[in-house]
Amino acid sequence: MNAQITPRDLELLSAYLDGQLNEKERARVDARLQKDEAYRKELETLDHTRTLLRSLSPRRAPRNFTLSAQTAEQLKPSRSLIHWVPALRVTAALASFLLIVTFAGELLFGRPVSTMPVAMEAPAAAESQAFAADTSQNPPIIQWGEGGAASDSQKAYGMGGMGGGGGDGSDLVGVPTPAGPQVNIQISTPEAQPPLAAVLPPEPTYFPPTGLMEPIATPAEEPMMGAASMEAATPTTEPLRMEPMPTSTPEPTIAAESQTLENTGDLIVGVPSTDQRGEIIATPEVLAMTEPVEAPAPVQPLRQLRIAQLILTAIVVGTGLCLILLRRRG
Amino acid sequence: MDEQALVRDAQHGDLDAFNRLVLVYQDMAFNLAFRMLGDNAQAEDATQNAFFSAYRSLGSFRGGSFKAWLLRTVTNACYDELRRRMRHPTTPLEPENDDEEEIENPSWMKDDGFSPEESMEQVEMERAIQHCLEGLPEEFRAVAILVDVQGMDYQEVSELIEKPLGTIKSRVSRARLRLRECLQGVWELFEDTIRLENEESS
Repeated sequence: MNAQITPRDLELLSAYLDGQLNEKERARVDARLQKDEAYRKELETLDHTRTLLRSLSPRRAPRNFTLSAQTAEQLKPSRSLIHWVPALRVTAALASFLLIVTFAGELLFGRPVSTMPVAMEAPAAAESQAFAADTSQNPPIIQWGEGGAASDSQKAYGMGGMGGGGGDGSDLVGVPTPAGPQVNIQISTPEAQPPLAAVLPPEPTYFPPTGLMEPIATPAEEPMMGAASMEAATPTTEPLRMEPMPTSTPEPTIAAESQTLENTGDLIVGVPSTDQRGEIIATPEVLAMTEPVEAPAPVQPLRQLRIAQLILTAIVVGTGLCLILLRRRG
Repeated sequence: MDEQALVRDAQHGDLDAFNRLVLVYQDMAFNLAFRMLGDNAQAEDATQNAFFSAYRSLGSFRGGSFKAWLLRTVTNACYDELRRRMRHPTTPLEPENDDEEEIENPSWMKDDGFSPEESMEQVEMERAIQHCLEGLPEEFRAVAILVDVQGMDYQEVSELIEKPLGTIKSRVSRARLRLRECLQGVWELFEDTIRLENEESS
């Protein structure tokens, strides 16, 4: 009965042909050859293949490949480069080791979670905290345009609201909260021009602290910023209309005609009067909150570590490339 | 002068000593290159480059078998040539006949380096074997040529290609199995020739 012939059996047969088996292996192959016909057939065909290959006539060199003195001289400079190989190997190994040590040390002993410089992080964090604290208690209200005859349903409140109803007046009027900051922006177009579809705020600047601003209305006196106060401040102002913008009409002129400021102490942004247009104001409290926090100096050791890692990486790559080139030439 | 002394002298800059080593091994080197590449011109280039390379890196030879070290240089030169061939494949020139049609496989351009006294049968068989050798993966081809064409033993080949003995055994076996498959038809065609050679060798 013939056993299945595995690749390992064929490997043994091939080595058997070349006399490369030890005594034990040879005896085992001999024993199997005695009783396994298929195994004998495999040996025979492998032997034929080997014989065919050995029957190839050896090719003689078509010419002498000896080197002339001139050629040898040209090849000589490269021989000196070979002497650099050990030094390059040591350098590459050392640099690799140090690189691994720096990374391992960083992993073992910890590092800052963020690579963002602390000086940049602190004001950003303070700002976001201030905004969160402020909006959680008193959401900012943005008042678009003049109130007019607008009803409550036409008012657009803050928290990012750009919406609001159309209505007859098409005005979007914000209702200031007594204690909260109020934004009251009114943008109008000349009477002859088509209604506005977009409003671009003027270049923001910080207002001086309280006292330099002239309060126009207080929440106690006038909880809702209506058309009356707005018109009083800017009689020529036409409220922003949220009608669809006709595509064929010329682009309207965008202008901040007036801003009404509610200065209640908590106000951060308001709508100043005509002479204050284009400016965004903030109270000292908010300014204080948004003031950059005194940040510690950048972490110098981390920067130095990064520089060291970069240099080491450059050394490893450079020496590796040199070694590959020398190996290819040598 | 023995080989070790020639190598030592060559390492100390004796060009004559190096050239004597070249003369000893150039046929073997060219034969290996030709079987690896299957082309006379490319084999010549590879052999020349291998001797240049050997002269340049003679300082890195640290004893052992000089033959194995030199043939490793030749094998590496052949690998470089094969890679270059893969990067820049060439289209053979094919002359046109009277009808301006290209003649495929023009016999006048074929130069396998066969001598006139070699029989047509032998030539055809060699071409078939060379074709099968060229169909092998590089690492199998090198081992098959070194063991079966050059007649080197496994230990020498192991030293030459810097692989363990077990790897050499495995590669020789697998190369032979692939060649056996490829040479099935050739075997039937040249059975008489092979039988004669077997009888002569035994």
